[in-house]
Amino acid sequence: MDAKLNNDVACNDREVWLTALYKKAFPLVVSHVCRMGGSFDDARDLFQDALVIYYEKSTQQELTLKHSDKAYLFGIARYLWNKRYKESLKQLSIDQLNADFDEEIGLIDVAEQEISSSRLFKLLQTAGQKCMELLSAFYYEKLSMEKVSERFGFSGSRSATVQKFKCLEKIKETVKEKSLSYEDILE
Amino acid sequence: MKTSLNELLLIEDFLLTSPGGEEKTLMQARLLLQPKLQESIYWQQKTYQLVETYGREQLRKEITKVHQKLFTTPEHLSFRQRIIGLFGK
Repeated sequence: MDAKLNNDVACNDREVWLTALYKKAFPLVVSHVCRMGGSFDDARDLFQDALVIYYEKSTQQELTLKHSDKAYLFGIARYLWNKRYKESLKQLSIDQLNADFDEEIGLIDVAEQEISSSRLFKLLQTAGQKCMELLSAFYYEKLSMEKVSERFGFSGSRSATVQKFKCLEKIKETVKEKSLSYEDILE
Repeated sequence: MKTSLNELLLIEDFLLTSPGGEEKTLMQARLLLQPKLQESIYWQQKTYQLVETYGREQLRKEITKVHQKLFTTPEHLSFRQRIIGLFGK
């Protein structure tokens, strides 16, 4: 049976979950990309993006898979290949490709790269790291408060909730202050 | 001035759950009474966006680590050979 993610798999086991998916599905993707004339690096990039999408889909909603997770991941990778490489041969502009991609997959490549290279983001990664980890566990990984509490060693979900809001307040203040003084934050 | 807990909660519910018609109307009324609320919503939304990017970056780092492990450590030699074999065909 396929391992289910999130509150079923302990968060420390994300690496185990990723390794299992890599072993099951990466050979399929390599085989496909190779047949289509792509390189190993193409297959790796494609597969890693597919993993991010699959992970996010799994956390956002209760996924009911008709097929195995291997087949689902392969399906995402094949879709990305078609979008990026096949359609690029038709000389679609990069903007068109990105727009289609965002719409259908919800992965915002360009904006994400710009945010992650901004001074504000770098500051949050260092000065606000503890809070960013806590907020990310709740808002990105969508872990329950019980799980968050376990991971960060709080006495219970109530105290984890209080800490989460303190962090949200702190990071929001930093974002506001620094965005007004830095020029590189995205509109 | 710092955002109050109530305001954080109110904005969180508004941004992260799908508010019904009644809640939307209530929020519009609040915006009329508290013009600064709009700005507060903006910064909170930006914060969620940055947290999302942070979470995704952490995931990407973990994926890269898994990839490196699979392609360097002796315990995964057979997996590596299988992949190399696919490219050799």
